[in-house]
Amino acid sequence: MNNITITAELKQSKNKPGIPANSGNKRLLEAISVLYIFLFFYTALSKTAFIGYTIDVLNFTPFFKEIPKTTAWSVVVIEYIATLLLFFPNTRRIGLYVSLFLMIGFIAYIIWMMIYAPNLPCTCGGVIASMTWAQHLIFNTVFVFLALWGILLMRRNKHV
Amino acid sequence: MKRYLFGALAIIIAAAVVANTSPKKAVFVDYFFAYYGPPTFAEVDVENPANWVNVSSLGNDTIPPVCNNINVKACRIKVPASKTEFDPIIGIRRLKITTVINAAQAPGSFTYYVTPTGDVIQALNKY
Repeated sequence: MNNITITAELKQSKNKPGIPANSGNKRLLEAISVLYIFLFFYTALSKTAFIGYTIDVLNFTPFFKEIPKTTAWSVVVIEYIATLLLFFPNTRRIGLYVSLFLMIGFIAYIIWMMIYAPNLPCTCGGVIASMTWAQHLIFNTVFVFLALWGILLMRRNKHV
Repeated sequence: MKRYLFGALAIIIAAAVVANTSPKKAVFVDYFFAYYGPPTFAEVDVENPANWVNVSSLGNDTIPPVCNNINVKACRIKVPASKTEFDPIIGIRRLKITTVINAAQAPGSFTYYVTPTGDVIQALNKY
């Protein structure tokens, strides 16, 4: 009976690439992806809507003030790409890797700002910009761990 | 389709939240502008908002020109954010064309410096 169930789960997971067979893990991965989709789409859309503000802040940010427009639009485009990659189960694995590297990049930016321009606001987009640098660092670290967790969940399933 | 349900919901909610967000205000309360007009420092040039470039929000004198605060030539001014506008296409903040900058002639010189009147909160001049 058990063998039949496992076989059925494996078959199901083969039909839906990118989704682990275990239903608990599947839900967890789905939840992590949805959280990231919300975060990236929200911040990307917010930055797009107020792109002038984002560029304006970057105009005063050490290093980035040399290329404020390029930096602002590059981050927005990468966030949209990450959203799309996470949205489709087939590309979710690469989406999680992109999210992880993006979050690590944002953490580096936060540390850079904490050292060189702590009185400047964040160009993060939306209500996230109202966080203090320390709160933002914690927030991003949590998301780094979520991405790592998601990657681990996918890696545990050989057939994915 | 069920596989896309939560992702699609997340996107819809995110869009709704952004749509209900009020427009962003200026990053800073005040902005610093430096004089980058003709080196003759004529009255008409000093009082022209187009000759002033946003250099820093922090009054940082490490960005040229360095102002020694001697009232001979215009150097740097501080104005409220309301007197500035941001051009997202060019990517710079500039003074509104209606900004009032008042210049005074330096004693014994043909050059003009800025007085902290009109829309100028603070004026730093140079020799």
